[in-house]
Amino acid sequence: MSLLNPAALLLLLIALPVTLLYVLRVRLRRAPVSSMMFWQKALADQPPRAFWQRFRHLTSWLVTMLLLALLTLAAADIRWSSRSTLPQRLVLVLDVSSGMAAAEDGTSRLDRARQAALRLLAELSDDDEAAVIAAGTVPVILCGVTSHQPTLRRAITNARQTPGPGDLEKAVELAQRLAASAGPAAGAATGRLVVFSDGCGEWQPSERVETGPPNEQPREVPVEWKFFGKPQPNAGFTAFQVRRSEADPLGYEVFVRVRNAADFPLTARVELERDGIPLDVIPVSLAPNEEWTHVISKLSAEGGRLHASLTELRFTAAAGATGLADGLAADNTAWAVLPARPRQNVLLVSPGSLFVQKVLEANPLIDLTVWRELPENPVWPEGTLVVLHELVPAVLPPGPVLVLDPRGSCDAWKIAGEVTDPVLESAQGTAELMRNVRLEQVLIPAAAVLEFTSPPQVLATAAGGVPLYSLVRRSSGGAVLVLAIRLGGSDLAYRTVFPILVANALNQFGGRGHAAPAALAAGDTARLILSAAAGTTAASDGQVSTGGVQTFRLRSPSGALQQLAAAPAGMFPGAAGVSEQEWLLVTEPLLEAGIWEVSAAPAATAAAAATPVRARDGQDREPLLEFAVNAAIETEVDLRPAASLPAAAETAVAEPAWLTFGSVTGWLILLALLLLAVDWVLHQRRWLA
Amino acid sequence: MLFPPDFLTRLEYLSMMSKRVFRGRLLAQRRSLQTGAGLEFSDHREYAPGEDLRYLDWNIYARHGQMLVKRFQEEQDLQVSVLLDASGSMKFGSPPKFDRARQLAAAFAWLALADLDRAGIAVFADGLVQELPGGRGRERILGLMRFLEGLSAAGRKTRFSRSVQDFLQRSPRPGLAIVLSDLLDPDGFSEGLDQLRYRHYDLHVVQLFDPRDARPELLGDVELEDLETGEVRQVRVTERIAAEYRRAFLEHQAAVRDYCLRYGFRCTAADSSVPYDQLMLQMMKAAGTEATPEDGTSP
Repeated sequence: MSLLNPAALLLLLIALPVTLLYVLRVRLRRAPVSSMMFWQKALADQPPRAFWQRFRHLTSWLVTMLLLALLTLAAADIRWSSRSTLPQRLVLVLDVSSGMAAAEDGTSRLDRARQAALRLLAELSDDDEAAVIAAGTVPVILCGVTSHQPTLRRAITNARQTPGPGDLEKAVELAQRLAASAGPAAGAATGRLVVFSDGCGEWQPSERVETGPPNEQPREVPVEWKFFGKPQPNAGFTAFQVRRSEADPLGYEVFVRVRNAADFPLTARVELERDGIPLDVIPVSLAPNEEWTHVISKLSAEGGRLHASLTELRFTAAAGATGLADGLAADNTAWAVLPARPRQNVLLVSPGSLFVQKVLEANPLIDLTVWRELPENPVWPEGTLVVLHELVPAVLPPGPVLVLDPRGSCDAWKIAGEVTDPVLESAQGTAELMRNVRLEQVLIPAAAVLEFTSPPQVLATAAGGVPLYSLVRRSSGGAVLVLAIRLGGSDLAYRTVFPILVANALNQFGGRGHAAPAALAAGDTARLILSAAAGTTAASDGQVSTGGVQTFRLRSPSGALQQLAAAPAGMFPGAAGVSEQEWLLVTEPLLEAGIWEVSAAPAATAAAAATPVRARDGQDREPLLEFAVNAAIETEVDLRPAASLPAAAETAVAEPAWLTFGSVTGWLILLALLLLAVDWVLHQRRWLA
Repeated sequence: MLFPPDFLTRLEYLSMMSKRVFRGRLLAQRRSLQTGAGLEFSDHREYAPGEDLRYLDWNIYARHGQMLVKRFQEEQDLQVSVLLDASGSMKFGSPPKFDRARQLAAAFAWLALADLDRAGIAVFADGLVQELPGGRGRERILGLMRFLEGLSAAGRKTRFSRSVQDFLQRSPRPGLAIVLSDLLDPDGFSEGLDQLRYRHYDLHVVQLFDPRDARPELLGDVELEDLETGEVRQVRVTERIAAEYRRAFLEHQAAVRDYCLRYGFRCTAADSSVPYDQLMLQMMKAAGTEATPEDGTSP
């Protein structure tokens, strides 16, 4: 037992004047009466006093003293605690996953966890210290180790709900490090680690964390688990992804998965909209714990924002059971971005190759123009991808160029000869240009040996280091892809790999708009790749590149803006799937579900700086990239606590903040109030003076 | 002010109400049955030597030779005596019971004087303190009021029996006795009333009480002071004791009422907080309701 506020014991001095007042006789008020004859009769008829009534003054005094003692102890903040007298370091881990948003009796699980955490904080003495960690997708230290209670309370109160899963394991590991640093080895304080969670999801506390033998791992602190939340029925999207349609070269397919995480059958409707226009409504009936998967095809190539919502959601309870509501609303919506697929102008310069021409004509997004011969002074159309087959001008056209089977030298290379029956030595299968391209089985009777004027990025090499497929970056801008294989005697043009290779090249030159970006899970960090054109847009917008780093702007679904620094992919050699001319952006954990936008940041010029920030930020900029973030997370849909909760788990009970066992203050005040009521009754009945 | 300027006007009004509406039943107007000098013939009796020959009925003597004397019914006035309690307990109340008693005494006296009866006032406490002898005529009312104004309720005990004894010694002639008192005599009230009853007095007991006499608003520790004896007693008044007090008070009132009912006397428990004229009207009304055909009057 200890007193946190011993100075309050001075309140006991009030007992002196109170006792004095009991000792001194109070002068009674005088009441004249007509006659004493009736009073004598009334008083004479009284039954003899009970034994205890002789001590009524003493009883009243004792009741008052007891009341004073209780209030004094309450003010002194008496504590019954089993912990040592050493200062304590308390590390609180708050699960802020999306499942903690589920409400029971109007209060979310996170709010209950907050209240419990605040109660724990209230029990700390001045010498104790604490830290607060939010267990979101990425554990975040909301407040470092401090004994400043307002800061700690503010950190707990401001702990933000995330729409994603919570990585409790990493959060506990982080908390262990914080708490263990206060162990005996560190000196003064003893560590304590408390985790507030709903016990839902697939995460299981590890043995190492929970019950580590203190002798072997002296710096580990046992974890106290406090679980909040009752099992609640819930249903929601667990997947909502877009991909290119396998059947329709222009269209998209959407993969939808809905899970009924309840012990009751479910009926609902899946409503699909694109840019606010209803596309489809699909009725869904699910058995308990059943998943529904569906692929929606024939989505056009126009692009747009696809929004799915789960509506008319009803759990069919057993007979007599009513009032079953969906536990979590956040997972009832999902978003996806369908990139627009713009048409592309292609100029084919070829003396005549049916397969080359057909490969290009087969692509419905291409407007093809064919030149059968190379003019003496060609005028290259702007905004057009030039495909040169066999015919090579002395100076390559500006912009992107695809060269197939070059027969002549130009400003980018010189033909040094020809190699017969080259053996494929290596191919960069990880490069975007070589995706799904397999050249091993291709018959290659001959290939041109090229000597490049500037070092190329070789994508495929024959034995002896002869480049077969190369990417040349020109200083004037525009990349050149050169396939040195002689198509005349090769079966490459007849194989499936050829249209794939050409399509990859067309996608590369036309930007990444053709690929449907995957929807991310809330709480994830996004790794975004912007095309070289995006960097050009930013530069033309007045952006000043500092050390090669460009600044972009990320807009959240709620409209919040943040700056993102992007580096050219060339700064990260070996970055998978990124070409050197592209830009690589890595975001912070994305804590909002919806559509996020990346656009060019406002110019940082002097003129722009003179413009108010709000005005500058208010400018509508064409987004360079859009991507979707969903709360559709498999592990967070199920709001039923896991069956395998830790054995040492304690199910937290919502109780008033002042009624805590650690602090008996609440009980003392309650007892004092009870005593006051008893005292009042005794006085009312004239049993006490 | 004990007697406000319109006091007499109100008394006149009460007198008219008494005659017209209640036919004067409040004072139970009646003639004396005593024979003597009067105008109305009553009967004859034998002549005794020495008697006044003027009353000898000469016609009978001439006709029958018998000497008979004519007797006449004597018209004797009603003596209304107001016994006014001036003990210390009458000081209690708001207004004091003694003030209300004096107003009632004046009112009763006025009704008697208005009927050409004789009205007198006897003030008592532990004995007969003061007395205004009976007299007749309306002009006496002013003197009577002055007498009442000069009275005060001294801090004396109530000894009703002894007071009645003194009163009877001075007023042997019976009549109507109106007792204005709270009757808070520790020795009891019945002995005094018995003496009046034995002397053939017609009684009207007006028992005055203050509302705080009936329901004292005292709870907790108090120091009670007896206004008659000056006795001081510290008591703790609980709900139970207060209830016992109220029960004792009601028992006392019931005892007075039972006594009067038993002997056919009129009894009124008068709340001293009620104005005197209303009290008088209430008493007149009650008297009219109690009237019987044998009274010779009809309601």
